[in-house]
Amino acid sequence: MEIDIVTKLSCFMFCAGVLTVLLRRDTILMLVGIELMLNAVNLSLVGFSSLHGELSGQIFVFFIMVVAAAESGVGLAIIISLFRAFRSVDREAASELKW
Amino acid sequence: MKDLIFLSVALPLLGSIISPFTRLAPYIATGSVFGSFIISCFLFINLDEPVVASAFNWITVAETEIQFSFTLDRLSMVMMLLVTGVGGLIHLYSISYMKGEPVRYFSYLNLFIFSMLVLVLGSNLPMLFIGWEGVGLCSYLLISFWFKNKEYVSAGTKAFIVNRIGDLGLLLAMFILIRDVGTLDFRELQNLFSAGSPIAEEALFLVAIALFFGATGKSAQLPLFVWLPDAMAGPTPVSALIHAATMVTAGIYLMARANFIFDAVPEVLVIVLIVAALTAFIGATAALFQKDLKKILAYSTVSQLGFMFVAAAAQAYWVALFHVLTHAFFKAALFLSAGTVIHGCHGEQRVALMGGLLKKLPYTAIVFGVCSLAIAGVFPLSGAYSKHAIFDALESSTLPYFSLITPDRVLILLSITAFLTAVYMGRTFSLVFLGTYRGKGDPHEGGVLLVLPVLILGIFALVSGGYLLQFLPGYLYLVLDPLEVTNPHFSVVPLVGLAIGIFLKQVPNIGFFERAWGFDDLYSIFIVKPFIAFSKLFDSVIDRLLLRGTVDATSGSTLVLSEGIRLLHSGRLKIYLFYFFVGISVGLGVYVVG
Repeated sequence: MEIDIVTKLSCFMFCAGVLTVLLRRDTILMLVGIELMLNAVNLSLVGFSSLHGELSGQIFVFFIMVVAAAESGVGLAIIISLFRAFRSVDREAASELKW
Repeated sequence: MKDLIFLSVALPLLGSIISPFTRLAPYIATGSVFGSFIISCFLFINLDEPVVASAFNWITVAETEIQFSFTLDRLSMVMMLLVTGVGGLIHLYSISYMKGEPVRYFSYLNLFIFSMLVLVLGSNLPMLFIGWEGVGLCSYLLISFWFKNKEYVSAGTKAFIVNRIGDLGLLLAMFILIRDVGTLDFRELQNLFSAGSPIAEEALFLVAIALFFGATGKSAQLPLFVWLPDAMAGPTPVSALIHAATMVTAGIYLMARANFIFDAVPEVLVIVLIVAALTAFIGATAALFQKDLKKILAYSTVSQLGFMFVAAAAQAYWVALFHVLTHAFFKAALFLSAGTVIHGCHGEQRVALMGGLLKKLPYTAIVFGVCSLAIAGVFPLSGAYSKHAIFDALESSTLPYFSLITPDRVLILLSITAFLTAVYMGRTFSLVFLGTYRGKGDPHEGGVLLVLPVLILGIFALVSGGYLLQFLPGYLYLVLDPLEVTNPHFSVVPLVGLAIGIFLKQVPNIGFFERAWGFDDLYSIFIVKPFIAFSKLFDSVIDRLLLRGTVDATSGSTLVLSEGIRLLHSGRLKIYLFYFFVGISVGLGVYVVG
């Protein structure tokens, strides 16, 4: 497998994740964008792991997956309370905290 | 012996600390002073050689060591008995007189006794200075005791400021001594001076002048006497204790304690003599034209303090101390009976609204009368002895007089002053106690606690003269030169003066004399008003323009800047995320490139 393709794919996924977080107004989709970024990192970790023939990179991926699961749990909880407060999951609704 | 000295000083201090916290304050305070007095009596019986009680090394700089220590010699002993004895009686009087007033009064009064004891017992000038400042502080606190009255507060402030000006003299004297002699301990200084002056003539002259200037502040001499008449704003027992009997005699004590310095520069003593004689005269003329009972007594105190300084100037230090003692008795009694009169007349202090109190306040009238005779110098009473001694000492003095100032002329001035004393006391007595009552309400004698201390002081004023004349020179000969004086003899002059005063009653309104030759006005024109104008200038230019301008510019520019910056806090998540990613990209970029 070419490492080149893996890094390009990973870079593309990461950029897609960043753009999702920055541009989408829907908070659930922002969460998806964050997951995308995490998985892009996972992909490159796996790719480099197989390149160097070492397992530690792949072990690390499991940790990241655990963290990602916890993060999406917390993120969903925040989204639920946001929805309760503003009756919407649009991030533009939550713009009270200013000045 | 040493422990007893510490105990006698510590008792009033303890009383001062404890008394604000208890309802028994008057009794605790009075008890502590009387306890101190009993210890003093015990010390008096057992005192032979001077006792040094040293607590610790207070200041150590290079070779110079200043001990925190007390020295009890016979001069200190006499002052200690006076302070605790008269102080105790006045505490006793205050219990009844100050009933219902805040208890901090007794705390201050005890603190005063403590400071005064430190003053008279201190072994060195810095110790004396602690007491010196302490009594000044208590005087300030007690003059403005009724601090809701603005006039009283400014009287207190005035006393404090004028005293501080005098203190400058004392400080300067200490600085010169420590620079040129290297010690401030009285005994070491005395040893050095007895072997010939250890410092240059000019420095010695400055030291003596500075010491005397310090004394003029505390003891209300020209030109710093202006605070004492205003100090009458305080409660009457305070006037009796602090502004008549004890604190104002601290200057005399200082001169007596540092007599070896003054003896080495007789030129300064001539200056002291001139200042003292003029003060005595100005005080007496001012007292004659006062309308307020307490002010009469205040100016009388100024005048009598002048007499004491005359004695000190004539190098008859024990005579000065003699007059300190007799004056303490009769002036304290006069003030306390004035307090009873004012108390009886429902707070009225103007003599024009008194009169005829002889029948209504018989005990007070008798004591006031006896003390008036004493201060006027009628023969068998105490004042006659001490004043005669002063005149005697002046006649035999050998100061380097110069053309204008001769002993005869000073004597004439002092004789006129003594005669005026009789006149104003006669006038006061007749206005207050004779004739018919002109005020409101029905005056009445106070309780036994008001009468008893006054009676005791009155008895002392009556009989102490001859006894002290026998006792003092012999007792003090180790510390002060026992100059010989003759016994007084009966003289009709003071009686004539009193009679003139009694029939004079009304005096014309002469503002010049009533305002004590306009010293206050001089200060007002040359110091107070320019100072206030100067302060206002600083207020408008430096403070408002420069300082406030700078501060306002700083705060204003911060405000404008933050008005702009706070717009960045839009509250929109999108914007924040944008900042976040930009920040991370820039950070990473710098990291990777750099």
